[in-house]
Amino acid sequence: MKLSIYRYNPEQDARPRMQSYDIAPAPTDRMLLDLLLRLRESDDSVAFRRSCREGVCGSDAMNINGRNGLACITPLAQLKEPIVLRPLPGFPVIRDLVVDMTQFFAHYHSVRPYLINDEPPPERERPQSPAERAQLDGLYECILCACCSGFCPPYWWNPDKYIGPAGLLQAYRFIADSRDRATRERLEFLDDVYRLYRCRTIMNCTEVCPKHLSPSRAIERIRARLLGEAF
Amino acid sequence: MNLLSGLRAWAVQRVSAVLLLGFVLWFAARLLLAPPDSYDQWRALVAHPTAEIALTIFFAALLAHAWVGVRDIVLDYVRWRPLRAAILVGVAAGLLATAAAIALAALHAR
Repeated sequence: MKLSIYRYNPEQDARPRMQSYDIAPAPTDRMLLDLLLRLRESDDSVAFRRSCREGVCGSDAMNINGRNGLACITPLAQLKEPIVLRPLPGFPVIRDLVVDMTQFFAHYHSVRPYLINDEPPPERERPQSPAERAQLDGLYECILCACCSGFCPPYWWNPDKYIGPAGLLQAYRFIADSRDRATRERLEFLDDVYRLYRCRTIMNCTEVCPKHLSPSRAIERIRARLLGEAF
Repeated sequence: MNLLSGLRAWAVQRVSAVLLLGFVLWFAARLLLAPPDSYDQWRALVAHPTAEIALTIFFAALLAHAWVGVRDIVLDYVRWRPLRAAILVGVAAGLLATAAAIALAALHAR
C-alpha cells in the first residue's frame, strides 16, 4: 500500500517534506497502525506515538487523508491510496507525526477536571441516582486524543486562549456532575470571550471524534447554563 | 461585572439575529401584500408609528449584530494587538457614524 508521510525533524531539517513509501501489509494487518508498525521494520526513523492499539489511550491521533483520527481503529480497507499522514493540524510538531500536547493539556488542567466538593465526606460513597449518572454519558468517555481540538478552526486561530472542544467537553463533564459543588465557579471561569466563546459552532469536533462524542453539544449546554445563571 | 464576559456578546448576537429575521420577514410580507405605488405611500408606510418602532429596533439590532460579528472575526484572525485595536476602533467609529446617519435621516424625514 502506498503511503505519503509528513517528515520533519526540527533539529536537522530546514522545512518539512512528504516522504512516499510502498509497504506490503501482512494478511493480519487490519488497521492503519498495523501498517505503520510494518513500515517501522524497514524505516525505523519514522516517529509516531502509539500505545494501547485499541482506541483507548488516544496516543496515535493523526491527520489521515485530511481527517483527524486514531490510526489503531482506522481500517486499512477504508482508506484511499496513497494514504496521506500528517501530524494533528495546528499543533507544534516535535518530530514527524509526534506533536507537542503541552498547551492542550494546560487547557485541560485549567478547567479543573476533578470533583470539587468541600462537604464532609459521607460514611460511604457520594450516591447518584441513575438519572444523575446518565448526565455523564457521552462526556466521561473522552480519551483526550485531541482529534477534535486539532480539527477546530477557532483552536487553530487562538490555541493559547481558547480552551478548545476537548477541554470544554471535560469542563461540562464536571458541571453536569451532581456531586460537584463548584458549578458556579466553573461557569464564571468559562464566561470569557476567549475560553468558551471562540467556538463558532463549526462542529468539526463532533464530526471527527473517534469515540463518537459531541463536544459541540457540551459547549451548547455550557452556554445554556451560563444563560440560565444570568437570570 | 465580568468585563471579558462572552455571554453578553453571544446573547446580543442571538437576540439581534432573531429580531432581524422577524423584521425582514414582516417587512417583506408587508411590501409584497400591499406594495406602495408612490413615494408618498412609501413615506406614509415608514412613518406609521408601528413601522417607526420596528425600524428603530431593526437598525439597533443591525448595528449590534454587525459589531459582535466583526469583532468576532477580528478576534479570530488579527493576532497583532495594535492592528487589532486599530481595526476595532475603526469599525466602532464606522458603526457609530452609520447610527448617526440613520438618526439624521429619520429626523430629516419628519
